[in-house]
Amino acid sequence: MKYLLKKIFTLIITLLIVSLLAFLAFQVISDPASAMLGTSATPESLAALREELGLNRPIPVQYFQWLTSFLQGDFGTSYSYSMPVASMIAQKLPITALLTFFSFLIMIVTSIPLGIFSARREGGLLDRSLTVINQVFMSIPPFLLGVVFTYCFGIGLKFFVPGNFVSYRESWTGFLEYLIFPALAIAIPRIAMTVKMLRSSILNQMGREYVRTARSRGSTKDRILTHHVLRNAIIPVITFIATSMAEIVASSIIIEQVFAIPGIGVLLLSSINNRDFPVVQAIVMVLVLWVVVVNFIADLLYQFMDPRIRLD
Amino acid sequence: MLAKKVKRSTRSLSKQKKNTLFIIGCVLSGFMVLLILISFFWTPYSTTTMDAACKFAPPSLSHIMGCDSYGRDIFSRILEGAGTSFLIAVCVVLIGTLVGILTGALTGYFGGWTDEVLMRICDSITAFPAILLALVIVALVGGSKVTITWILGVLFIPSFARIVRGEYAKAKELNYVKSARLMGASSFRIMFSHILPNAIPVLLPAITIGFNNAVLAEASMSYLGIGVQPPDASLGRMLAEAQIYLKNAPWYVLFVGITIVLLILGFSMLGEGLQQKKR
Repeated sequence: MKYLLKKIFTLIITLLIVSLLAFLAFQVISDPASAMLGTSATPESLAALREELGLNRPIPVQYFQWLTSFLQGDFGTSYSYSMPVASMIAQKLPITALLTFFSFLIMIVTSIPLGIFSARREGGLLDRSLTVINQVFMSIPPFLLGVVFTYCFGIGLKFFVPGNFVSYRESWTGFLEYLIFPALAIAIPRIAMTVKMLRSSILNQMGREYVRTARSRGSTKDRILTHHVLRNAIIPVITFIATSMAEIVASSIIIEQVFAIPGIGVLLLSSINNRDFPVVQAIVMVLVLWVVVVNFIADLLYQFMDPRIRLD
Repeated sequence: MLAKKVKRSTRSLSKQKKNTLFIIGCVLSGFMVLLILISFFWTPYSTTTMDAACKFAPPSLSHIMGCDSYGRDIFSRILEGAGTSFLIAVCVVLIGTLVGILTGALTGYFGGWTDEVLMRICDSITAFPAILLALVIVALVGGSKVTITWILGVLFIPSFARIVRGEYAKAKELNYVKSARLMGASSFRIMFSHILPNAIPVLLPAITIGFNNAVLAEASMSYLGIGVQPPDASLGRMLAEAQIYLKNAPWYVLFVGITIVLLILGFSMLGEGLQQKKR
């Protein structure tokens, strides 16, 4: 309980620090008034706009105001679209969230059985070929896989039409069908890494004394694997899977560009190119929140899976 | 019985794998680096000459990787792009390692509250994917060859600092350091001429991994159009360009892709070989 409270406390501190940095970077350094007026700015109009936006007030006051309105869901107004940023993000967020969730699911569902299988047949032909395949796939960046998939499955085999994105509002099946290949492109390098990690973690546990004890009591190899070894072997993998979640978010931003999926990533990039800072700032905050919360959950899960670790 | 068997088989497998991984890694990355070094002085064709006659020419004997949309030789351009990506990655790793060694050595050796604070900062930086942070900083300062090198270099510092710090924290309790101190060696001398050589074997695999991450990060950012800007070529930018002509010239994507994969694969095998050699 004490541990949980301490973790929640550090979580809030981290978020506050990040919000302060984001505020300083985008509200103070980037000078919103001149960014909004662009080339048409005159000293008088700049001063008037600064007054209107409250940029003349002391920075702590500005930060506090920005933070309270941010917490109330007011993320500011986009420079280029003159729309509330919150509604722009709300439109795109489900798409990216589903894409990341989908690839995460694929990663878990395939990598854990493959890792166990590979460790079970250690040194066998299948294990050895899987290890080589893993080594190669770990070296392929997701966006490259995306381009290759576009060519093979999109242009070649016509499984999907590249660029013809179907929103989940129109058809759920069409939406999921379009997401299969992007999700795979994100997941495959991650699967390779997870399989490799899980395999070596299992093999490391297999050499322990308790395995020999269980074996001497007459347990079968499979029973030892599922009942004793896996529980221990999965612990270091959990931390890796949690960091994968953050990497998957980063990859999905790039993959959205490859497959022309109108999600947060495409919005982020176009906002960066248009220097539309309120949008960039809000997306950064959302992504940071996402990553920090996932790490928080991983920490708790880690505790839960391994009661030996009591870090308070 | 079983445990013994398992132990023996893992040992023999890793022993046999260590050599092959390390050797293949050496050969592959050596080959890529050699090609890149040659390309700094000589490429088969000029990378800027356009030849309308061989627009979208498929691979042939005169243009072994074919030509792009302007009739430029793809092989020469890939060499140039790989050179840029390679140089950026080397600089990123250099910045990361040098500053990382310095901060890691100081915090690990002296400890105290600066150690605590710096490590918390490192933790929070490494919690986020480097590409995400780099994107945000590029949004503020603009992208170019130089800026992304600095941004990625700074973002790579924590990963090295943490490894070096761990080694120093461990080493300062060891007898050889204690006796050096008794002999009156200065802290500076102990840190850099006694402990550092012992930290190198741990640092080497981290350097190869860092190099790969740098190649990947640069390629991703340039692919997104916020990294290396034209007229500079880079593998990521070329891939984005090749994707437009996916239907007309699929081999363009293929060759750029293979180059990226080989560059990363070579160094990742080298790193793993080094890691296993250490054991």
